[in-house]
Amino acid sequence: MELQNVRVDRPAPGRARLTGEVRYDDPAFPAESYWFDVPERYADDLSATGNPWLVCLAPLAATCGEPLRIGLPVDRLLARNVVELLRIWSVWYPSLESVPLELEKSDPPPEVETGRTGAFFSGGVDSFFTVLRHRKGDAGGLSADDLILVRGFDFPLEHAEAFVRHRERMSRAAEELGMELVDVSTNLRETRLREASWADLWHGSALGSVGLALERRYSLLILASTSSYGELEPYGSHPMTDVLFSTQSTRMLHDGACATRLDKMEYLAGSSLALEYLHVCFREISDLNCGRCRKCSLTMLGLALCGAGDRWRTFPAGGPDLERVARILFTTKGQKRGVRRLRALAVRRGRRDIVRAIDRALRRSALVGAAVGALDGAGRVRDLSTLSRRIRRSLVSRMVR
Amino acid sequence: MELIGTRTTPSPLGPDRLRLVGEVAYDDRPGEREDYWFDVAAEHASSLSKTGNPWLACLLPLAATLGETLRIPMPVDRLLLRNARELPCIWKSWYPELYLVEVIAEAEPERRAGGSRAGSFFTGGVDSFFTALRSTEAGAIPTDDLITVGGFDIPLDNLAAFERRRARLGAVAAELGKTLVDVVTNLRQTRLEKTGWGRLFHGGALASVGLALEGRYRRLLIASTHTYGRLVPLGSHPFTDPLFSTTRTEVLHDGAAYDRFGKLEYLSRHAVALRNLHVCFRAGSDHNCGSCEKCLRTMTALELLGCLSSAESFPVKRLDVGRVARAYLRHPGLEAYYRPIRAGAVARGRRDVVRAVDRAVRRSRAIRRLMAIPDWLMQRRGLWRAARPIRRVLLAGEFV
Repeated sequence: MELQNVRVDRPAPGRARLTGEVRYDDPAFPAESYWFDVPERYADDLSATGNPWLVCLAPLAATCGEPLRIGLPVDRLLARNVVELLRIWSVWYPSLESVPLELEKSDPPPEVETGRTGAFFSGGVDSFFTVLRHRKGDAGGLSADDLILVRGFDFPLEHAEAFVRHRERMSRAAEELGMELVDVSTNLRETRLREASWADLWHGSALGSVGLALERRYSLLILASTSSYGELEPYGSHPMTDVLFSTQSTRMLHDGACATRLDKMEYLAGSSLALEYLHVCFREISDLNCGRCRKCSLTMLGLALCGAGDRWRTFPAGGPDLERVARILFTTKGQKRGVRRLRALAVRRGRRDIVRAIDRALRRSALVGAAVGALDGAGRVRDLSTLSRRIRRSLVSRMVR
Repeated sequence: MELIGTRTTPSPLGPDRLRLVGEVAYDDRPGEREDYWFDVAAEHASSLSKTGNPWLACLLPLAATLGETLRIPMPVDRLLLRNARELPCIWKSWYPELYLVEVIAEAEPERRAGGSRAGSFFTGGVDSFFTALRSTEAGAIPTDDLITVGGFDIPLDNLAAFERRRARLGAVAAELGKTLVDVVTNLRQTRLEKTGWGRLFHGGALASVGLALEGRYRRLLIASTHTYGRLVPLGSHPFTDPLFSTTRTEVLHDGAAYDRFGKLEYLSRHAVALRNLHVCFRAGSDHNCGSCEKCLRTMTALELLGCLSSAESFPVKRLDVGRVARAYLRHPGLEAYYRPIRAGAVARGRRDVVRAVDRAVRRSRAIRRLMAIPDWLMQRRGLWRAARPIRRVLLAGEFV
């Protein structure tokens, strides 16, 4: 695949857009435009190099097995790093290939030293934790100047109104933090990149490419961790891979893996700002937390156990609904590990009602998991496939996901 | 524990050298002080660190081992200070007996201009030769300096061997168009050694050496030990090495995409490597003994690559496969080094080598099981004396 015709134009009043055309070697796929769209006042900060393009296209090249040609100069360190990245991915996911990169390597002029620090910010637990702990000086004082909010990742592009409302809230949060909110829109998730797994492979590189699209502005970009060091598994954002999106002028940092999600909630429970603006739920693509899905229920549970149950502003009042908690479906090892931590905290707090609800949810999840496994097996038999699908759907629909 | 203060003094190693000394006090041993030092050529005086950065890098593993808060009364880079919170978390996830410790230091308020050079740590071994040579390729990250350290693999009591190695590596550096920077340090003669060199602190130790000259470096490369496909907790690791970076000096872990056989394949195309490769530290010396497990393993790979006869730094020009069959792999992790060698032997139709490798692996597994007996005796009061002769008998005829 090849990047061609990179340009900056003005798609709408007040916005500037960095666009690149990508042509695929496989003729079955027509060329596509990939773009990053920023407020016009940041137009001068937009990248003129191949760096953001290399970072966003590398996972697709590895997935499709196509060599990647970038016609713009690419930072020498980044070029080296992406070779390492492709190797790591091919170790994690043997179906991926370490594809050839055809790059024109370059070094930045020595005077380039922007000095600004940007932190990716969705308003969720991970990014709030990272931003707050640095602002308070709890972790070396890497306080962010900008909070980078992305439309097109958790918020699909077609949900413009919900995003505008979300942006308004996050702007207020940024203002209270004394930081600038930089909102970037991108169509990466509407391109052929969808063929690659967002969660497992490329959400770190997607954020990296957004940051590098504004590389003239940043010397440091902070990406909030998902998992803690003790529970790392191959994933799209990982402390070993995220740092490899660094160039010689812009360093990428994976931050917060020293804390579990529960540690982070415990930290946020002490922040009225976080409780005012926390947004974890993308189930209904709304700027509000639904309060009913697995993520909302577990976050409410965690915050309630940390003593913030009566102070949150973005979840329904009255605490978590334990009947719903008892019906949460836990499917992955990570989910089960997380809820066992909540259970241990509930034991320490003497909340036997919560312990019982979690135990019921874990038991039900185990039963549903076993049943789904058996039904999937039955589904491979021709005459049983429709029936097994129906039963599967019915079983799973009773659970909270 | 606390860094009481630092000073620069003349070096007892020679009139043209300087020593950066830090005095450390421990909470668990009130009144006891220990000097940690980095000894460099006087020409690098202006590059010597004036911050707490190198001290944080070398003392953090010890603080995490002792469970003592680390106090550094000097400014520390704000990125390194942040990283100092991450590192103990990683170490604790690997070794639960370690502690999550706090670092008390003042963050450097301003970004100062830093060094502009790139240095890669260099022992003349497979990993560091690979990293050094790759940096000379078109398009690669170029390095200016090769940094060799006295007091790590060659101990301080054998500085004559270090001198000889320095002379040889100086010639290598000149041939590669780079500068050899030698640093001598006593880190492994301090309490740090108790934390476990391979297990916990050799990445931090290398980084601290580089940061002792932080005025010189924008980038430091640490050659990888393991591959991405076989990462295990280790003192130098792609997770942890980059966390010794400061805002001005970036530490990179380099080469983990290649296994040791792949690195040797690359080195086999470079005469400078074949003339100077030094992999053996069994005797703490500057030459390859040719008869230890590591030498035999490296020689086997070179034989398969068709260049053992031209590898001048090895005393043996023909591989004795009988010796390979009696190489003792002292821990199971070493088997991973033999897998690519075996695959290379299969690909080249060298059934004698395949058989020898298989035999070495089988024998080593059996001996390791029996080694449980002397290991158990070693733990028992009054019985430990019996362990040594048993070990000797078990390893008789093996190449360790």
